[in-house]
Amino acid sequence: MSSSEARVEDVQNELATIRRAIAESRRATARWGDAYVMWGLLIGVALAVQWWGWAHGVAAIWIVWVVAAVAGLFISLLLRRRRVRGGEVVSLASRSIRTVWSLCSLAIWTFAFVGIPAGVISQELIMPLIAMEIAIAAITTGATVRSRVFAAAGWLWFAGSVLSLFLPLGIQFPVFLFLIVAGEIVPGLWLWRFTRGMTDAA
Amino acid sequence: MPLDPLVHAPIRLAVLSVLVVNEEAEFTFLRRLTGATDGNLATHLRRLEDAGYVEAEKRFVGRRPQTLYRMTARGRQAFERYLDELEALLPPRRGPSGG
Repeated sequence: MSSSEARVEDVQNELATIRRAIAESRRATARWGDAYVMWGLLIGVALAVQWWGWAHGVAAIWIVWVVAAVAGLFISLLLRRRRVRGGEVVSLASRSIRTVWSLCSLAIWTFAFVGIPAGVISQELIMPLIAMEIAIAAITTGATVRSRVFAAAGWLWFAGSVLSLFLPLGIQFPVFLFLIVAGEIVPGLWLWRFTRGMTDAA
Repeated sequence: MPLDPLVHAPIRLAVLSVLVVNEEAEFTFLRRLTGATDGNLATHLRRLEDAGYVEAEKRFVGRRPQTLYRMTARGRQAFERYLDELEALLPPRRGPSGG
């Protein structure tokens, strides 16, 4: 091997180190697929329970959302604790995404726990509003990380929100359950699979 | 032109590569990424700090001590210069016409 060939090989090794380090850190900043799936499952179950309660005339069934919110927050903290155990990396994108989803959650719980009891948001309007909130967060996420999966999920939520405006409450439930699976759990599993490839000892 | 020896070492190069595309990274992450021991990584990071390429922030999250590293403007310039130097070492790319 000539000296110039050896030098090219050295440079290629350096570039490979740079590429690998960047790829690993990108995976590390995207390790929130588990939280996405968890919230999807939790909201899906709560929604199914509320659907059942609504169909059977159980007045206090709304309590399921309080349980879901508290359980979700608790599990989120546990997941975050596990995530940062291997060391945390923060990028502008990860900080933006965390902020947009935190605000989305805050808006949803405000609509549900303040808007409905205060009588300013009707039962029929809450699901379109929540779907629109999630649409904004998912589309922003898709644009930030250039993910077609998240962008598609966001537009699905947007379409579901607009459609729900014209649907009676009884039909909104199955529509929202479909959105939870297709627009929350599926993208979450995709992200989970993507980040699972990160080696524990690179 | 010789490559910047401060950037050229594989562990320091990996650390700077992470910091150039992220706002900050924790020591634990950098250790996992590089596979270096605590002492070895700390030595490399100290060299980068001394050169003004990175800055460290120590804090506590609950009871857990955490050290975060960020790249400085000087470090970014050095890294970009290093990439230019690497590029200069590669043979020139041939155009579509082969010339």
